[in-house]
Amino acid sequence: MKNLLIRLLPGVLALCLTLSACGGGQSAQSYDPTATAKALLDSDAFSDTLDSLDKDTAAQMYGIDAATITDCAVYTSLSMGAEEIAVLTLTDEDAAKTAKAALDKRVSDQTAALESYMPGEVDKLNHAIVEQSGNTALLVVAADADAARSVLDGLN
Amino acid sequence: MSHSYRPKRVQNSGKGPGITLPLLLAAAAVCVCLLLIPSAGKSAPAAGATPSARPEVSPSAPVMESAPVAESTPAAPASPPATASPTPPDTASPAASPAAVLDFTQPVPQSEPVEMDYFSDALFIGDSRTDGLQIYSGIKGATFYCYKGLNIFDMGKRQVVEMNGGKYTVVDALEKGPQYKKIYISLGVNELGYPGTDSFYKSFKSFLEEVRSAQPDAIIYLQNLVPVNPEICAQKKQPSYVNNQRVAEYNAIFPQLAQECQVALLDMKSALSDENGILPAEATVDGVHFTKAWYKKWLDYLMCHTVTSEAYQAGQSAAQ
Repeated sequence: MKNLLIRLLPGVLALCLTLSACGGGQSAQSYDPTATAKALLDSDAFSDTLDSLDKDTAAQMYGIDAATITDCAVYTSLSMGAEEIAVLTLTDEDAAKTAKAALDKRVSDQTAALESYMPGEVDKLNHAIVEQSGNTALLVVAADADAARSVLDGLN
Repeated sequence: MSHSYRPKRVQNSGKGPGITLPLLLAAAAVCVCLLLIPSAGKSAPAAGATPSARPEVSPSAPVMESAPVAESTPAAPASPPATASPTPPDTASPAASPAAVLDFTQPVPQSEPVEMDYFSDALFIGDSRTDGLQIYSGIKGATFYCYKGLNIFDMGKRQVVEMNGGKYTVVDALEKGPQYKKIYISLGVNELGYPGTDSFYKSFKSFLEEVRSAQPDAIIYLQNLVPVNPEICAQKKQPSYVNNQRVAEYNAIFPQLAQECQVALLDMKSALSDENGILPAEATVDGVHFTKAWYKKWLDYLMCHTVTSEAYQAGQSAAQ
């Protein structure tokens, strides 16, 4: 019996490690830019009209090196409000971390700009979703952050 | 609607195969004549002689005194097409070519479209509408000092320009930042709620003088105000002072500013409003800001309404 337990121990430990990796913390989810943006735009998470930006313009707006962006879908508000979608695929994880920091700065910059110009928009920024996973980085500022979250979770 | 930027000149090569034989016969006849009458060849004008240079100025141009604008005649068909200068090169103009003179009392007339690289030494100063021009029009290479809610009273107060790791007011950035060759200014919507027009006029005039002092080599383009769409403004609950009566009151000031400060006036109001003098419904989602198509239309207008530095300087000399 003791020998049996010793033989089973490595397998049990491996199983526990696998289960803990799946169950806790952030999942290693990558977002396809086009599909993710489309799913978000098709949802009821947004109240404003958004239109797309090309890669170079988006890179300049966020202060990200365009050469590190391999694919992207970026939409901003035609009313110059807070609502926004940015799904970026980058060359590697380090570039994605840099992009995530730029997206965080975008949220704080937008908050500073809009708090006197469109104060009603600031609450949307307070619930902004900013993520980085693997070589992707994502920003979603929606009228209904919960609805946007549900869309993202549904893509998993 | 998409817009493609046309090359400045299109070479017309419309020779069809059906005319080859007559041409050969004609050439042979000419050769025979030249051999028979040696003196005839000397009297014929050279085929490649450059015709007298004609200015390519729009016939409706009301303010550019007619004069040869550039020497960009198609005399060198083998030259590479890519690096055409948007304006006549400063140093390549023969002294015999007089510059046109810009009349600051009138809006800039239509001109030949420039290439996108025209904006590589241009600076745009403005509010959220200019922000929209930056991100939606497709403009490349330009620098923007623009900010949501920015107004003329902020120019020396509000630190909105990020530069070299610091934040600066627009006036400070103009003084301490790079020098530009063209500066486009579009402000006024966020000032509509201020009483009267006197403070707007005085502040704008003071700012234009500061711009000229800080950027003496720049052509300053002053853009008047594009109206709003009243119906959509009401639907979107824009403030009541955002109305076309106030826009018209401010637009009456811009020609005065352009004349007094000797800056080039761009008539964006006429370019981007409809036959009723308002921003069309299809051009806006909130009554004030534009759709992507309208930002592209704005850029198209800028690319077809430019002033040479020679004309700008000549206009300033003439006005003094």
